[in-house]
Amino acid sequence: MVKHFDPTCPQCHKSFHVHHEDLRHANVQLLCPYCGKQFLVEECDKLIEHDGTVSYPRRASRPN
Amino acid sequence: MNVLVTSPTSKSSARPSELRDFLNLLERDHPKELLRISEEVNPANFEVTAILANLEQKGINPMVLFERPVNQLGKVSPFPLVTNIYSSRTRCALALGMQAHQNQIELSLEYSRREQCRIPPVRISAVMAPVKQVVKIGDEVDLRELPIVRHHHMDPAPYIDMAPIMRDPEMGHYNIAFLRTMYKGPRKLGLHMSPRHNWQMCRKNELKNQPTPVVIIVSHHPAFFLGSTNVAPFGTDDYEVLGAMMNEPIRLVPSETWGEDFMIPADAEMVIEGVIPPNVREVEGPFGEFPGTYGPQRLRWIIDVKAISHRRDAIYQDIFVGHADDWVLGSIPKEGALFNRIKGVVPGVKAVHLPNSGVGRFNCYISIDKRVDGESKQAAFIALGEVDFVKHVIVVDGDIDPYNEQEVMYAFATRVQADQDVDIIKNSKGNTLDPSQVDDIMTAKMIIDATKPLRRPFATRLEVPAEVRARFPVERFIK
Repeated sequence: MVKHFDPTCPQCHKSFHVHHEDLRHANVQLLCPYCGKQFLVEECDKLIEHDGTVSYPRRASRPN
Repeated sequence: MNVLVTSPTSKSSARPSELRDFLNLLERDHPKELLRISEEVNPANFEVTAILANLEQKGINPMVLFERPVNQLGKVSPFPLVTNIYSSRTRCALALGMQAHQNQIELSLEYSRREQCRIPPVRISAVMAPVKQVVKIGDEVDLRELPIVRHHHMDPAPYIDMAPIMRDPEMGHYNIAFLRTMYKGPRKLGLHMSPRHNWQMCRKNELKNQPTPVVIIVSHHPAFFLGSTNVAPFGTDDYEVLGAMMNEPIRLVPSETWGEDFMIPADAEMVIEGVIPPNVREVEGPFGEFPGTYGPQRLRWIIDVKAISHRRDAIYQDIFVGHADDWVLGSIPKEGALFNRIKGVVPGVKAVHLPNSGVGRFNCYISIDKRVDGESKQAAFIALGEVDFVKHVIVVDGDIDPYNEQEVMYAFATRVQADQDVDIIKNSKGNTLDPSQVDDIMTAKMIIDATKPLRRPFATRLEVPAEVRARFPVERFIK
């Protein structure tokens, strides 16, 4: 299978599959297939990378 | 491409095959093969695929005609929706004009025979073309009028999942393939292509910063779409292959957008014309794909829709992708091609089957009357080399019916020692949609030789004497 990562939508909190090579670092808005929200990778709630690494980009980008 | 001009005496003057003829055939002679649903359903809200999934769960797989699908404008669409046509090999045999019982290797071999033939298309005038009965151009086009199906939960939008045609900008031949197109607006679609023939044509245009004309054949006779899965080499004109598959020349008519520079099938129910702007990509997907899993969201091409033409009472067609409708359609062309290739090396090959349990692609069962040990592996190597989709091959003896999975698993259980009869080949070319594949491109393949060895005695399979069985047919006891 092509490498994919799973972002979680900041609006409906559901996750979906996104092609790693095409979109992980493209700075293009992703489209949530469930609610239609468009968002950048760094705006997602939770991110599971293709190798299984988990991060929480939205939490990390909030100012202290 | 050779295009003949029709004359009153040519074969093309015979009435061409139409989707509605096929519906009538089923209704008249095979009524269990067709289910009409008159209740209003909303295809964009999963209501079509919900019904198909529920039928599938009960082991029922008719072709389904939804008479009152709701379109994206919230109205009952003027176009009834037909789907799940190919989920039965019997319907595929009937579509090719064969008998219902000729639905196993005979069907695949007939497909393969026709695939080698060519029948040049013929040209007719627009006034004779059923697909030109209604023509809408530019702003008149509104894809929301169509009952486009949203198939699975993670699909972001309804998808037209039928077959676009493109024309090679240098060689001039036409190529057709099933490609998914995502609804993005009243005159806009997203398009996914894998690096195969249509992709090559589009790439040639993109290198010159030129748009690529594309025509989506939304609905036509099932033999037309069976032919669309042909594996003829690049450079083959698919209108000629489709003619051979339908056993009649495809009647062509100039498109609305490009005139004679892009000919379209006159007997289609509905076609959509558009252009792929060069080097434009947008997000598309995820989409529920043939392995029964989702392919990821990607950056893919778009189509700017220019025109739509259809019959006055056109039928809209769909494929239940990722289910039997998709798997059977994928298996038939490969089975015939594989049989013929294997036959050249292993003359005792009896049948080849790509079962639905292997999504019509990944698993391959081959039965052979083995003359010497080692022939089973030769047959398996050919299957793996010939079709890159094929991942696992099980070779069985001629007493095992490869179309009966219980039989194949019996052979696997009783004729296989894993340390002797299983071979694994690493780092072969695989398929990017195989969810088990760790690498982007490469996969591991497996051969299971479930044939009996010839060089030592092997336990004989149980048998009740045939002559005694013949004296006690079950019909005597079960009416």
